[in-house]
Formats: sequence, C-alpha cells, structure tokens
Amino acid sequence: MVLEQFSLLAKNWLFIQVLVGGLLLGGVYALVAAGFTMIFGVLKILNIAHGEFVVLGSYVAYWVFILLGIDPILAIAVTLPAAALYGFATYFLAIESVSRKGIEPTIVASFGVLLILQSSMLAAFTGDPRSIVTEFTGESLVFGPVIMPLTKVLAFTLAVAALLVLSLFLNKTQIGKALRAVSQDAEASMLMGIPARALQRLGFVIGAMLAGLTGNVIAMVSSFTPTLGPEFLLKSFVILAIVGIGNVREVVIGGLLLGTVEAFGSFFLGAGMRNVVAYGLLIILLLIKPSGLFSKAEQREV
Amino acid sequence: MLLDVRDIYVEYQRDIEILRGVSISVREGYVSSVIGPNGAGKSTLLKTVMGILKPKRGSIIFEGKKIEGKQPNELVKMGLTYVPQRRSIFPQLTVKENLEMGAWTLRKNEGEVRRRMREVLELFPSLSEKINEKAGLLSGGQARMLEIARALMTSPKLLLLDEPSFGLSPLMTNKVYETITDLKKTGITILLVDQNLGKCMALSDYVYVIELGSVRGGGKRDEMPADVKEIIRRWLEAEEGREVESLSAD
Repeated sequence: MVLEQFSLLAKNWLFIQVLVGGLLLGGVYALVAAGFTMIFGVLKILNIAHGEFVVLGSYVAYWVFILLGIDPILAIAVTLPAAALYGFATYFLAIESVSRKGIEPTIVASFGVLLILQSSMLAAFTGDPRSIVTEFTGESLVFGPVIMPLTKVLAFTLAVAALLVLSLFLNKTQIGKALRAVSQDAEASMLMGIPARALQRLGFVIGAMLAGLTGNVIAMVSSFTPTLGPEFLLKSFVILAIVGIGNVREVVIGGLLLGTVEAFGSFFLGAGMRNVVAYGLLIILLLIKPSGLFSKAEQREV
Repeated sequence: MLLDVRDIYVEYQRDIEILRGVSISVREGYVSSVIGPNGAGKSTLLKTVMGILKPKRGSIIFEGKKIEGKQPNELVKMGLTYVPQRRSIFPQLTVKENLEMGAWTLRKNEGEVRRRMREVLELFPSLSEKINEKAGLLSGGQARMLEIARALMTSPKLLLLDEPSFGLSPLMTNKVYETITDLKKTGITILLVDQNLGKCMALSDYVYVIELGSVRGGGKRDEMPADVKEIIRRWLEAEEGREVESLSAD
C-alpha cells in the first residue's frame, strides 16, 4: 500500500503537488503560531484559548460575509479590530490580575476562557460546520502539473504578508524593539523607563489580532466549527517544539515544516491521520530536544 | 545634597528587616560608595532608591523632592538610573538597539539620541566596534560596559551601580573600574556598591560602611572616624588574604 503511494508520488508530479499543498498550509500555521509565541514572549503566558481566538476570527469573517455580503479578504478590516477587542477584553477580565501570581494561574484562567468562548460560540452559532463560498472559491491556479486552489494561495499570501509586516514592526520601529526588550527582560526594560505593563497588554492584543486574522484566512479555505480551536493550539505547540521561542523567521520555518510533514503524513496514512502526525511529531520533538530544535540558550524572544 | 536617604527601613523577605534605619547622603559631582559584607543590605539600598523595593519607613529625597514610593520609570525621567548586579542586557537586540532602548525617554528627539550615542560611545570605544552585533554575543565584561553605557543614554544626574565587578575576571574588573574612573572625570554623580573593597575605596570620595542592615559610619574617605577606619582596614586585610589564597591555589 505504502509502496504504491511511493510510486504514485514519483510518477505523476504528485510529490510537488503534496509539497506545495503542505507549504500553503504551513504559511497559515506560521501565522497562528506567531500570535501564540508573541503572547508567550512578552507575558510568559501560555494562552490556552489561542485557538478560540482563531475560531472567533473565522466567525467574524463569516458573519460579515453573510450579513453584509463583504468579501472575506475585505472582511479583514472588520476582523482585526474585532480580534483586538476580544483580545483586550480577555486580557483585562481574565488574565492581567492573575498573571502577577505566576504562570500556572494564567494557564488555568486561559483554559477557562477557552471553555467560555467555545460554549458561547456553540450556543450562539450551533455546532454546524460553516464555510464561505464566493465566486473564486472553486477557482484554481494551474502551473503545469501542479494545481493550487486560489483560496489557499490567497490565504498563504495574506499570511506571509502579515508575518512580513509583523517582522518589520518588531525589528524596525521603536515600539517593536521595546516589545522585544520587554520579552527579553521586562524588569530591565522598566529601568529604562519603558512602560513594560502597557507593552505587555499591547503584545497580548497583537497576538489576538494575529489569531483573528488566521481565523479569517481559515474561513476562506475550509469549513469550521466552534470546537476547532484546540487543533490550532496543538499546531502552535508543535511549531514551538520545533523552533523554540524564536523570532518571526524561525516561526515561519517551523510552520512550513509542520505543514509539509502533515501533508506527506496524510498522503501516506490518510487525511484522518493528519493530527496524529502532528501529535506524533510533538511527542518525538519533546523527547529528543525539549527546548526546540533550533533554540539556543539565551536566545529567546518574541 | 543630590540624594538624601533618611532613616529607611526595608523588609525584603518575610519579616527580615534588611535595612534598619539607614541614612546616607550623596553629594553632587562625587562618587559615593556603600561597602560591607555579603547580605549587609547594600543592593537592597540601591533597589529601594530606584523604586524597585518600597521602604516601610523613612524618606528618600532627590533634588529636594520626596521620591520614595515612585516607580522606576518615573525616577528615570527625574534623572536617576540604575545598573543591576545581574546581567540585564537585551541579548537579542544589537548593541545599538540596546543603547536606543536606554534612551527610551528621549525617543521623540532623534537628534538628541544620536548626540548622546556619540558621546557615550566615545567613553566606550570597545562597544562602537560591535555596534551592530547582537548583545548576547558580547563577553561578560563587554556586556557590563554595555549596561553602564545604556544607563548613561538619558544623561542621568545620578548613576546607581550595583556590584559592577560581579562575576567578572580580575582583568575585566580592572577594565570596568578604569571606565568608571573615566566617568568620574566627566563629573557625573555615582552611588556605587561593590564587594571589591580595594577598588571601591580607591575610586570613592565618600564611603559608608554598612553591616547587618545598619550604617556603622561613613563620610569623606580621607577623614573617616578611627573606628570605621579600623573596620575597613580589617576587611581590606581579609580581602587581600583571599586574593593571596586564590593566587596560590592557581
């Protein structure tokens, strides 16, 4: 069976097809992980509700499309402020006060946020799968033997563009550099007069916005339900295990790697095994190098 | 007086009073130091002045204004700056970016930031060679230099140095002290805490001796009361003894 698959791969350009599919997916994974590591970097908080931030973003894009007839790409203009709002509300109501007591309470608090958001979405939107169908949903780009669904190419492009903007913001602006300074040594940054608390709040909001954008992009390429969140959390964990808390570039590499491994995994083992491949990768990585494949001591940041 | 610490009490850990009624004065344009054995409360004193720890009692007056209870970022704007004992560079930022972060409160004024950076780098030529390198790649001594340089970016009125030679080799310790001596010539006021008594004494104009959270005495270095001089003499002897020991151990 596996041998047959191998010969298929070799014969029909399928190898490239699977690889491209994996990379397109990987770009979106990188986007979700970038938001997750942003929050972990500046606050040392594992935001267990990060996947729910993603799914909320999908629903915002969906309802903007259904109710106002606005294209999901243009819907980003609504999703981003909406995500900033629910990110800020979460931080203000559930995270900030417990974060001073250490990392464990924030894990419990954000797990509570996960349950609240998931149940609320189930109550409000039911568990029915939703998807956005536009005129270009069925379109594909064809390059010789390789076929790429247009929505996936758009999703990938948006993800890469967002990550590029994020990277420029963190590396070229004073506020971005200060965010990195806070993530590397919050106490020292306060000694320079940098408002570390305010920047931590900003970091959380940016993380939520990246999650919301991911959700918006996901809604363009596949159907989604209110319970999809933990899957995105898992992807973020796997990418973290691959690269450690690295910079944006490393997160992108991790995302592309995960997308590719998953694509080939599900090609050989069946699409149902996609998450098994991801979990398997996570467990193997945690066993052989718990600090991340590329991580070095003293090199952790946003 | 630039800084007056009056009778402050600080609890650091549960019910352990690390400072019990400490009073010191820092005169503008001079180097003052606080010396004493490990655990005497030297670092606690600097952290309290910088607003990292809150005193239970007593007052701290800087340029005639009460500052106890103010946050570090407010104090930076008033002209205080503090270099902690522990490593505090931002390892993933370049040397230049670290200096820019030091000038955070001036960031609206780019010309001023550039001018300060030039001035500071003149004092730290070894840093200008590494200006675009990641700070995490610097050696221990260079990292300490960067921490001091970064603290100077705001043109502070008072520089608080907490154990600048901590964790450094004797060679690097000498280099750091040479730099502090150069700094002294620029006329900046320094309040220094260090375990390296010999270096500390040689550099300081005013010295306070602290033991078990209380000041045993102090004043102008060359006009110390006889009993305080005696304490310092004993400590210096012990320190030389340790150095001789460590040399013979090599």
